[in-house]
Amino acid sequence: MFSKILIANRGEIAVRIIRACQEMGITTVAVYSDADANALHTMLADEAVHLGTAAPSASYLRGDLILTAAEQYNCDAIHPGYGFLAENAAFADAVTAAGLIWIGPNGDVIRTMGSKTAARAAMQAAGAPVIPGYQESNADEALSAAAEQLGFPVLVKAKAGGGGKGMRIVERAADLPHAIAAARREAMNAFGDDELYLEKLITAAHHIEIQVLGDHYGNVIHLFERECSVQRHHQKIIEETPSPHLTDDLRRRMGEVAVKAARAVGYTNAGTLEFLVDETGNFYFLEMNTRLQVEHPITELVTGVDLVQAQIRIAAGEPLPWRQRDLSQRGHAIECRLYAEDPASGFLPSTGTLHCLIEPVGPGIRVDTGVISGDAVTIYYDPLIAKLSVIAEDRRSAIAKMQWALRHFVILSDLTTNLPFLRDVLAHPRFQQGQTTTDFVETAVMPWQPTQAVPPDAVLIAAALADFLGGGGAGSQAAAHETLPQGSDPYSPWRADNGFRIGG
Amino acid sequence: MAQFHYQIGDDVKTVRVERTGAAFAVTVGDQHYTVQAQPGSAGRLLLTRDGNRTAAVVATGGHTDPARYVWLDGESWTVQRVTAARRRQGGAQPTAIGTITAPMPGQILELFVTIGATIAQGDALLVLSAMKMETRIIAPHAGVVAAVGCTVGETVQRGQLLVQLNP
Repeated sequence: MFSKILIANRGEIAVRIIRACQEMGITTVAVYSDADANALHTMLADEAVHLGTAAPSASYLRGDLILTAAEQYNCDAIHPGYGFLAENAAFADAVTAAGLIWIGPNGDVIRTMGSKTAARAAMQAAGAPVIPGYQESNADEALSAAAEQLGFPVLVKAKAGGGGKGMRIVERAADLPHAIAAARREAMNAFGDDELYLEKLITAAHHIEIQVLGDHYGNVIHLFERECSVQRHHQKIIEETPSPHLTDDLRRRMGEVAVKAARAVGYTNAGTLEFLVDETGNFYFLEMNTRLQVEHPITELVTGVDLVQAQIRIAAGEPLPWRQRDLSQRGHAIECRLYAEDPASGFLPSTGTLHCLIEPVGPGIRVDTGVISGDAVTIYYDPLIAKLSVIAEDRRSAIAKMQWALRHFVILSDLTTNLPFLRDVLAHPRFQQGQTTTDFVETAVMPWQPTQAVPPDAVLIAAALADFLGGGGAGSQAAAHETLPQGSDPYSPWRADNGFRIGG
Repeated sequence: MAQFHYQIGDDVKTVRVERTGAAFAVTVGDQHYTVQAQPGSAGRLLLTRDGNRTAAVVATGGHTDPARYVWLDGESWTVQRVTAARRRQGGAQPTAIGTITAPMPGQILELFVTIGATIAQGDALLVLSAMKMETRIIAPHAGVVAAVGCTVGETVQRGQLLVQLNP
């Protein structure tokens, strides 16, 4: 087993990986940018290495600096998390060439799957059904002609894409040139590669993905599905498992295809095959993510498998301890992604300071976050505040538990969060009935406005009493304590006035 | 008795607080309440009114931050504390109608409007690139473009005027 691992990431996923390492007795090295000098992941690791300024191109994307740090600190392996360098084949190769272990599939597999077009070809060869599309040429005119042939609506997608970046839905031929230009620009900014391809848009489909694990001895298993149809702008916001849409037979067939395809490309470590499933149960390969997924916690909750620890053990050369028949889904898990964004104005990301963050606690509730009270959400990184996951006996109980957890997640900040939006999505009849397709949010939930715009008097009473009792509450806790007279009981409602801010 | 003023949107509400033995007499506008308050750690406040308990958490950004962030029974709210002097001046100026400002720092990728253009509600005005995503800024209402405060390629700051759209 490794004795030291460098985690080439930040935020909640770096925290998640550091915790897994610590549980396994492995020393951790974090990396950080100027913006993250006091971040949770930087503090939690045994050692931390400064990379550069806040911009990812000067810090978390600097593979050269990260590799040098790993060598200097005598690390055995690098865990890339998701995003940043996680699907960078050249970096994976460089890590291996330097004599370190890359915790993920090898560079060649990342390269094949990272090119959406090569992945389509590989999956077709492995017998997995793919969506009708066009990838023979990248030229504007060829794409336009192919779009006419496929018939609108079509999806313009970046070959190196992911996370909805470099992707556009085009309804009419007239909109195609603008969409191609915008997708190219976004793809170039996000991936440094502006090549595009087309896919026929399959509407009213379910986005269902299969988690796989492969070791270095040819063993490949799947850990069932995650239903990821609740999306906005092609980004998932709520995921659950099991999928209410899959029958046992369809689940088994999709799992078999995923395992067969992963085996065909010599896949090792954790990976995810994304599929679109239509109303009649036809499924099409969408893409393969050659890394840990954001939404991995729900799979861990229903299977009991720690995916991060499994990744580390596989990379260290251990064989998979499970066969397919050893695994099953127990209960129902849901994840909500809490973002700093405003669903009422186009899901625009929001920045600010988290003055007070109190996580819900209870049986079956899990919070993955990289921030604590006092931290800022900046323009530099993904505006994910936390992933809130729950597990319960069945879907109905899981929804109830999630509603409770959302109501008890305190986020007091000058930024806007999607928390009220998530609650409304969970309460929507279509979600309650499990009838979520990828167009569900856009067509059934949007446009959305928060229900209550005027605060009840109790809000003003709470604010005034906090001001009256001195200090103004959390976020200025230090100030509140400073102004409290010595010897006073902070829990007593009768504590002496301290004169601070009274009489406004 | 202490008096506090809070701004909510364009409204300023006055809250009077007075200790009355074991409780507080609180007046919001012309409504009277008798409330018991039990402060906890991290800004927690348990309010009891007519035997009903409500959990609250109150935070601020520090001494100079007029904002009071209040979590109350599952909902979050922001009110702005205003001083008496500021209140006499009529409180903070509301944002003028039709002033479209940058919601966050970013770069202007595309600009679809020019001065004098007639715009329908929902028309795209420009494309802003921020946080690795391209966002189309949409006209919140119909109108005529009276001013354009940015150019293509420009890096804009949060709150900077992008387009003045007169209804």
